[in-house]
Amino acid sequence: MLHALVLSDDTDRTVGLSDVFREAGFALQSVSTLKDARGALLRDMPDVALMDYELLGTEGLEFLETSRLGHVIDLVLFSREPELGTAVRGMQVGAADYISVPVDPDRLRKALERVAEGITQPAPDESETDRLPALGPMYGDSPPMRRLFRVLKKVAPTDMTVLLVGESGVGKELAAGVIHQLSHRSGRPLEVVNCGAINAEILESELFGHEKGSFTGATRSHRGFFERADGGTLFLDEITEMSPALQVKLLRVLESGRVRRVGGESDISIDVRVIAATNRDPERALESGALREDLYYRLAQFPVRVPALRERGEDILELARRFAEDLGDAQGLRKKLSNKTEEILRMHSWPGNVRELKNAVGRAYVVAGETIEPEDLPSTVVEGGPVDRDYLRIVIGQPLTEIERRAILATVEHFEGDKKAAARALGVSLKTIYTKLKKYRGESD
Amino acid sequence: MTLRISQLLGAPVVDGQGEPLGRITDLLVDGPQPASLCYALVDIDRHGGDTRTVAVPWSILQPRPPDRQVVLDVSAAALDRLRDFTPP
Repeated sequence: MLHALVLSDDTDRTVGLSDVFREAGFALQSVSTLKDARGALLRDMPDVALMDYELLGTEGLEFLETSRLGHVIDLVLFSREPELGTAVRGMQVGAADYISVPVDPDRLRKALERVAEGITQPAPDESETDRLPALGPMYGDSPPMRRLFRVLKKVAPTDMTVLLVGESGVGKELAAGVIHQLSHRSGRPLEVVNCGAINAEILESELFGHEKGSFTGATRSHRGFFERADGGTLFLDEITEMSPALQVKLLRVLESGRVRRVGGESDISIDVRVIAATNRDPERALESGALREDLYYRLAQFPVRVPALRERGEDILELARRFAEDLGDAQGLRKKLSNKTEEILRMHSWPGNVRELKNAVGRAYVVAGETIEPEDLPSTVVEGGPVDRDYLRIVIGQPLTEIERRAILATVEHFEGDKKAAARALGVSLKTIYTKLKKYRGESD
Repeated sequence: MTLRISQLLGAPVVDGQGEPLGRITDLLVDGPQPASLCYALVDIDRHGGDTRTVAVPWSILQPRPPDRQVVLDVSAAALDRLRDFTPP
C-alpha cells in the first residue's frame, strides 16, 4: 500500500473518507497537530500529505514553504473556506491540488488515483537503470528503500538543506553522496565533516577556516570546509555533537551565505549546499538541548529518514551476498553463505545496521573455508542474536511480517527443527509452517 | 508499546465514552514486506442483533492494553458513512 498522511482535527471527516483511501490503495495515517505532522513526515515520508488549510495556519504554511515539501511529495490542501486567495497561497507553498470541504469522495478518489499513478508508473524519461534496486552505491529492493530512493531523487536536484536521520551504520553518508551526485553541484567538491570526531576547540577553524596568527599555532592561514566546498556540498555528520556556541555560528553562516575565518576581519561569500545528519532522535536532541531549535528548523528544510537494516526485510540477505561476492572478486575466491548462516543473518536485529553486516561478512569471509558457516560469524551476531534461550527480542517498530518471520524461525529452532511442535506452540497448521519455512529459507521439505 | 495481535483480535471496540461499538475481527497488513498495520476490520453491533463489518484506519484507533479495549472516538454518523467491508 502507499502511504497517506492526513492532518486534520476532524476525525469524523477522516474516518468518513477512509474507505476512499483504502480503495485507492493507501494506508492512512491521521494526525491532528502540526507538530505530529512534522514528526510523521520525519519518521516515514508519506507518498501524499493531505493537510487542512485552516489547521496549518501561518506557522504551517511557512513550514511548507521553507521545507518545499510539495517538491518532493504530493501535497493536497483542503479548506472549509475555499477562496481564490487560499488556493493561490496553497500553490505558492507547493500544493499540487486543492479540495474544498465538505470533501467530495469522487474528487478525493481522483486526486489519490493521480498520486498513485505518478508513483507506480515510471516517469516517461525514467530509464531502465532508474528502476534497478539501487541508487548509486546504495542497494535496496525493500519498500522503505524504494521510498528513500524516490525521495532522494526528488530532493537532490533542488538546493534544499537536507537533514538525514537514521541509526548508526544505515548509510547516511552514502545518501548524502547520492544527493550530491544527482545535483547540479556534482562537478564540484563534496566535503565531509564528522562533527563528533573533531575536537570542539578546533572544529570552528576546521569549518570556517582561520587567519595566520589568529591563535597560538596558526602559522599560516587556513581555508575551512565551507570554503573548500564552495560550489558544492558540505556534509555535516553527527550535527548534534557540535557545541551550542558553534551551532549559533553555523546558523548565521547558513542564513547569510557568508563565512568569516577565525581571526578574520571580513566575510567571504560561499555557495554551499549543506546536508546534515544525526543518529539521534531530533525531537529528543531538541529537548535535551543538544540541538538548537532554530538551527534544527533551518537544517531540516527537508528531513529524510534512512531506514534501519532490520526494517528492510530481504535486503539483509541480498546485501550479505553482495558483500561476500565483492570480497570474493577482490580476493579471487568466491565463498558462499550456507543456509544456516543466512538464517542467522536474517534473524539478527543488526543494531549496527549495514556497517555491522558488512563487517560481519568481512570477518566471516576471512576465517571461512569454501562456505561461510555460522561459526565463522562474529560471536555478537551468533550469540547476541535475538534468540536467547527461550526469548525472542523484538524491537518496537518492526514490520509485522518481519516479526512473524523471526518468531517462526526462532520457534522452529527452539524445538530443534521439530516443525510439528513449532506449529502446535504457535497455534498454526503444520502446512503453514512448511509454507513459511519454504518462503524464508527455500526449504523443499 | 508492543501489542500482541492475539490481544487485538476479538478485542472490544468502544467509543469515546466507553460505550461498546463492536469488536476487532481482522487486521489488514500492508505487504508483502516489510509490512505495517493499515486497517482494522471492526464488526459494528447494530440494533436488532446483526452486525456490519467496516475497515477503520489503524492510526485512528487507540488500543488500551490494560483494559484490553480499543477506543474508536468518532461519531455514530461517521461510522455510518463507512461502507460495509467486502474482502478484496
